[in-house]
Amino acid sequence: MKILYVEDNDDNIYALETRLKRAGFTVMIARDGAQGVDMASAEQPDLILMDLSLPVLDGWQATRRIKAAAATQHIPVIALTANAMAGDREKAMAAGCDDFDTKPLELPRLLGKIRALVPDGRTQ
Amino acid sequence: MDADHRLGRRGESVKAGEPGIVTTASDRVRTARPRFGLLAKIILFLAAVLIPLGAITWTLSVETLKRSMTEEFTSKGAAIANSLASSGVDLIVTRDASTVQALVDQYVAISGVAYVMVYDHEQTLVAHTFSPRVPRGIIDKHLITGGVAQQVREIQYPDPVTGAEKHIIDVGVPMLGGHLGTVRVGMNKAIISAASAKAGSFLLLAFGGVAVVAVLAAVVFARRVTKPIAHLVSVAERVGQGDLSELVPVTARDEIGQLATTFNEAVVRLRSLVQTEADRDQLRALGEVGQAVSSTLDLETVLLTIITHAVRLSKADEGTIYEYDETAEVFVARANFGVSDTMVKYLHESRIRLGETSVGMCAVRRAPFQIPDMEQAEDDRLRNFLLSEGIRSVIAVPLLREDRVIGALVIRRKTAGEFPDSVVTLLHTFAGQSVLAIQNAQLFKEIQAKGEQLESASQLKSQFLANMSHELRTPLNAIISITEMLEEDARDLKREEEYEPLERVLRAARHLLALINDILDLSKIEAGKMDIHTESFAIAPLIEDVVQTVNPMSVKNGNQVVVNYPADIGMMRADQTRIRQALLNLASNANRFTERGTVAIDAKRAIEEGREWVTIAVTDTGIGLTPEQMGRLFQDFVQADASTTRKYGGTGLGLAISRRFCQMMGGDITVESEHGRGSTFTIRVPSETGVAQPVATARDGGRPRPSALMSAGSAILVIDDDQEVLDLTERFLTREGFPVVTARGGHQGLRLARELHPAAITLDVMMADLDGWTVLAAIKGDPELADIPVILMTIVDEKNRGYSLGATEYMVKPVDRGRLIHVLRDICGAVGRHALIVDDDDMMRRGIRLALLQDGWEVVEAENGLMALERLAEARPDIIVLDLLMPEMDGFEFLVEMRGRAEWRDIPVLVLTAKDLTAEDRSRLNSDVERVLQKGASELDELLQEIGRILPGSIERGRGQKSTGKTE
Repeated sequence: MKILYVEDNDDNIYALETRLKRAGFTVMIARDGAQGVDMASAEQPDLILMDLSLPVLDGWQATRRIKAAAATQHIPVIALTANAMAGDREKAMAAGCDDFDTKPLELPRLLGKIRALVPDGRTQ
Repeated sequence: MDADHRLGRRGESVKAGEPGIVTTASDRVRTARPRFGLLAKIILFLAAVLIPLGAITWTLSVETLKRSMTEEFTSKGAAIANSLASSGVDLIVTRDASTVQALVDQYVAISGVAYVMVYDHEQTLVAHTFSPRVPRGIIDKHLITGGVAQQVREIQYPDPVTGAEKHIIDVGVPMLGGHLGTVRVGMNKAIISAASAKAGSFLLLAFGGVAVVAVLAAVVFARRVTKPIAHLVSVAERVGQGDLSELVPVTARDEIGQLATTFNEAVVRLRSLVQTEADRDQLRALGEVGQAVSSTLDLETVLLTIITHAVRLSKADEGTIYEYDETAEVFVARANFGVSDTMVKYLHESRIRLGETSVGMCAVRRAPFQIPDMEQAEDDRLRNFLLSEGIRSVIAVPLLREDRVIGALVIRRKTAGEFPDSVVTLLHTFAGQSVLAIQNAQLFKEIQAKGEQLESASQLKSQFLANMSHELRTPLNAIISITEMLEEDARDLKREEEYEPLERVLRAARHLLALINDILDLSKIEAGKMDIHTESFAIAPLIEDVVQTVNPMSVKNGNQVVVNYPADIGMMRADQTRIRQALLNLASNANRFTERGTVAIDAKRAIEEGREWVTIAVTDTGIGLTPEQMGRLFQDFVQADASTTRKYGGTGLGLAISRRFCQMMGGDITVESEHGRGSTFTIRVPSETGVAQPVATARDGGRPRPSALMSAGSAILVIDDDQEVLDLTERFLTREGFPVVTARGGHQGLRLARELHPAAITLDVMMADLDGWTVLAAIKGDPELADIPVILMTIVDEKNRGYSLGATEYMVKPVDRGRLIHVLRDICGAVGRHALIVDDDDMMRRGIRLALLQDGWEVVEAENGLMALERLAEARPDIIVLDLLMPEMDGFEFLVEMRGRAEWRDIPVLVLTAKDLTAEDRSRLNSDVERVLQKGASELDELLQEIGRILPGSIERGRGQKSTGKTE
């Protein structure tokens, strides 16, 4: 299963990419929102993990664009954010996200959400 | 006027006791009896006039009578004699003796004739009327005249029968020219005497009658005069006693009437004067009350002031102010004046409810309620008690706030009677003030409670912060140290694939720690709880240290670091930690945002605006800032833009924190930049932070000094609007070792007080722009400044007012300087730490200076004795470290000079010398000097020890210990 991880923080990328790979996923990285949108349409991942605070184009906008484009609108998006304020969840959902998780991430929780969205996701 | 008059002797008036207006007991006066009254004077006058007059008149009358009678008798006698002479001629010629005798006898019968004698020409007595014979006296006395004219003589002879002297007018008439003989007729003067005596006594009687009438008239007249005068006197007496109620009746149109009129006018004028005086007293009392109400929040004091004035102004004996407790529904006595201890106790224990006693009644009726006569009031315990205390009348005024009863004001008198309207009005006013006072007190309590709440909230917050920081750091510490441990293990076991993840973890953890620290710092700065710890330190080592610290980053970015400062950049006094922190921050940023460029650090000292500043500029050739970015630069958590934090690292807080600290030290961090070319960040701080220097600029109307901080706490702020006073005060305070800041006028004083937060303030009261009372109130009202002790200095003596407004000390000009110094020393506490080093050896001086500076002393140096004397004159050190061998004036001479001046005599001196002292030297020094130390190896430590011994408490730390400073 291909996951596109859109994130600009190096440590986060390092950590999650490694762990997702260990869990058997194929991981692609985009480091800003625009890149994320491009790669989403180019690579057609099975799922997108979208950090919300990104340079160039923020996560909400990127998500909207992905959900607006015919080529990518079917791809489930999980929003990831460090902000734990009320309303963020709603905001994310309003932008079209399929789910939402908060940092610091807990892998089991995240995997649960991933599998919920892509139930038959095959892992290598 | 109903006084009885009783006429005493000589017209004295005595008045019985005067009835009249009810006044206090001391007013019963007896009119002084005039010692020499008007009546007496009149009588004396009359006597003086009438008696001589009478005497003269009487004498004249009597004499005149006598004389005329005598003349008459004389002429009568002469006539008789002549008649006899002529008619007797014949007879004599004929020698008819018996006829002659008969003739003569005829004449004797005529009244007044005492005798008749006829002589013939031979002087022989021919006939006479004596029987039986001529008295011897006559015979002796009969003188024969040879003349032809008649002769009148006054003779006297003893009566042969009675022996009494008879006084006779003897008229001798010659007959026929004397040829024939002489006739002598003796006229009895006794008749004259009798007649004149009779007339005299009659006159006397008449005069007596006149005198009596005169006296009576005098009495009547005097009475008419003295009566109004006496009335005037009694009224005047009353006026003298303060009773202006009566005027004198003007009964006559004469001078007395004028006097009475004028007197009345005077009384009327006096009345209006007294009224004005009373009004003024009232106003003043009200003013004082108003002042008390607004100046002190101690309810008891205010109420006491009010009741005192109320009682006095209403001329009553005692009074009480009650506060109404709504919960318990009773009146509680809050302030008493003039009240006996028993009464106080009684009132304290009695529970007066609404409707009970005058207090309760006035509250119910919401209007003043009085009992003009206690004895006629209802019989109840309180009434009986009051009566037993001597109280006869009472008036109570309610204290109302918007129709709610909050208390009552009661005035009591020991005399009965209604209270005049003026008193009721007055009490009304006082009642209003009382309400205000009570309100204020309540408000104040609320404010205090709120303040305490805030305080505890703030404390909780601080506590929270402290706890949080602890809580946050603890797990972080675990993360960091364990990860480090894992990293070490990985290296030891050469498990290279683990290096990277562990490094990442460590980096993130350390970043978190930095963030926590910065947040904590900022919070503390915001809460005003950040302390600055001022110390002297060398600038150069600090710069070098920072350069070294950022070296790894410089290397990593390929930057060249260039450092530039003058060799004598020397020391500065500031918070070393914070300066270092700021510089490190700038240097890190410079390196962080520059790649393969140059980072230059330039430091220098400069004098600007009368102060010495240290500037450290960090210039880089990095990415620079746009104007927009510069604008946002110093905001918290904002680096030039959000992404740079991620790219370049850093917490984004450092600059804001660094700038805050520099500002707290009296300086700032400024920036110049060109986007793409590089930036220059400059730290600029006073070289001596924490001490406001007395500098010439204060004289030109006073530019405010740059803000110093909490450790400016050693300065004394002198506020006065007289420049001369400012100069003088500054001079003598400085000489005593106090750092002084002057402020000209109240406005500037307040401003500087807020900026500097001085250790103490001396405050003149009479100032033109803003008077001292207002300034004092402002200072005490400002929570930031309220704890600064204020010494009031003024011509006016209003100590109580000063103290009640919160002044620490109140000194009346001209100020006793010694006392001022004493007070200031008390306030500023500690031992002075100002030393004078006298030594011609540079190095020696520098060494000692550094040692002392590090300990927080202020140091002045002199190369020789002469210069030391000059330094002494400028400012008085707390201790002198003295070398002996010096040019110009050596230590010995200096000591002699110094000890010769009274004000320098007791400055302790520590001699530090290389000279080998002889016994003579030692004896020369002995009494003048605390101790002599030999220059040698460890003299600095020993020096400090000695100083610490001589001035206990003056040395804080030994040399060699670095100051830890406060970070929390």
